[in-house]
Amino acid sequence: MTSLTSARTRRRTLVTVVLAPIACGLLVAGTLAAAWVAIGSPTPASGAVWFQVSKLAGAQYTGAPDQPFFALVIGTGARSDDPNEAHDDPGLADAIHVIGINPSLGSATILDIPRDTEGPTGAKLNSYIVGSDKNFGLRAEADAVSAVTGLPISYVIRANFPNFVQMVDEIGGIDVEIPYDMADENSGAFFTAGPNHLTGDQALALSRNRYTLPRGDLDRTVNQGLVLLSALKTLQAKQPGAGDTIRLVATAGRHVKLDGLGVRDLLALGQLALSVDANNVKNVLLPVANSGNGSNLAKTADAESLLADMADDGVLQSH
Amino acid sequence: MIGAAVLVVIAVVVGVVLFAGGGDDSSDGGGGSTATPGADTNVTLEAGEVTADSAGPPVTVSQDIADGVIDTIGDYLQVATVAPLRSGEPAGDLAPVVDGAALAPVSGVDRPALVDEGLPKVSTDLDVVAQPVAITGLGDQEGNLVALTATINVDITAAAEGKAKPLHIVRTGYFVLSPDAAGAWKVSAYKMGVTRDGGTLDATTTTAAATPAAPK
Repeated sequence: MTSLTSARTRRRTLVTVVLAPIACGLLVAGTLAAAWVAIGSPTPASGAVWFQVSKLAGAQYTGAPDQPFFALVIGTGARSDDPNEAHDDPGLADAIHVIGINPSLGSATILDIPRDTEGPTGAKLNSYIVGSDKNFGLRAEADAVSAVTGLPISYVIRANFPNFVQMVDEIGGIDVEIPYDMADENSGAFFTAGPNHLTGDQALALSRNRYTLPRGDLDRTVNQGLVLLSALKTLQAKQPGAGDTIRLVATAGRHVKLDGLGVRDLLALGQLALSVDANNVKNVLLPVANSGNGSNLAKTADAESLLADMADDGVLQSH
Repeated sequence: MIGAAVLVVIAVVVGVVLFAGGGDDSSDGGGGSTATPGADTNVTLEAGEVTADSAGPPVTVSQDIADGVIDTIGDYLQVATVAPLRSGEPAGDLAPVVDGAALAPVSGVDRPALVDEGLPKVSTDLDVVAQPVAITGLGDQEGNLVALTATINVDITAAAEGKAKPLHIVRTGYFVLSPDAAGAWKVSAYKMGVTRDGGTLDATTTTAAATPAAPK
């Protein structure tokens, strides 16, 4: 029983850390359409919620669609698509990424934020999503990330894990240029450096592996961003047509919980993703160090200039 | 498969007659070209396959909507291609076919990819031939048709004038159309590439553009 519970918990954790990159790759990156072309119509479980997208009240782009904006992508371990419905299953935000997108430049930056980074109240950043009062939830998580980074978050994408592996497999897997050899029993990450085509399970393993990495969770966070970027490249390489994009947005729309935006916005996000040059997307770790408060981390002086660079137009130029 | 696939083929062939330096427009509505003493302008445009998919209950693209889309694209071709090539003047107002958010880039940075202006006036026969326009509708989670895409593959040729090579323009991409407040389907986003050669152009030019499409 203990073993079963432990395995379940471990798997939940594992899925958690990979959700954000994939959800982002499939939504903000948006090019699910490519997979449709490649492998035909995915047939996920009816009614399954793959992820949730929330538009925060401050997001206003009417009349200025070329302005940069920021989306927070988080992966949690919650079983429900509503964290407030799962108090026994807290769903900490163990994968945290801010994506800055500059439509007019056709460019983007992925900022990988370690989950133990200290938030504005002294708690770890991964905890602000948990709870049911006004100080918690998606808005609180976004506010906390904004407070740490100074980046205004307009959209929050929260992934729901149960269908993750299936989702990756249904789109035909992803191509990843793995930076170094990996051999980790805990995660099941056994890879040779270089180009790899990963199944859902393998993408999960890559994204969860931290024990054999020099910087542990920090390197894992970077690898999550790598998975995200690789998903974008893989899907863009399929070169989906106009009708393909519509069909895949419709598919995504059947498996996404939308809050404050509509399917038409998903289409816009998909088109935007197709206009971003994946080779012009940086994947960068937020510089952090021990904060002196337990195991919490705090951004370093180097982080300030990086964040300023990203804040001005959504993307990094000098970093 | 979500949504009923509807195959609609609408032949909208408009023969527009323009004399060099201006002239009289007419349409035969039945295909083919309209000969004039000066030169012929033949615009061939028709709907191809019309389908739809939905995030919610099934949706379809009605024939009226498909017709409207073809009308919009026809208007676009007239304003963006035919008129400026015939007159040698800048293109006219695209606001009737492009919605507000997309109008800014269409009028600015993306204009070279979407409008055939700045080229010498064409006084010979002009053929604007579009491949059948594939239309795909998108339904929202409530089953409302909220957007559609229309493919654009247009081959434009002008007969040679003097010693110049025939002008040849190929425009390929797609429009995203959405209903405006009045229910008219207008271009709200696009991805378009254009190649131009011949005529008095010194070399082949290729221009591409896509709308920055952050959600509203």
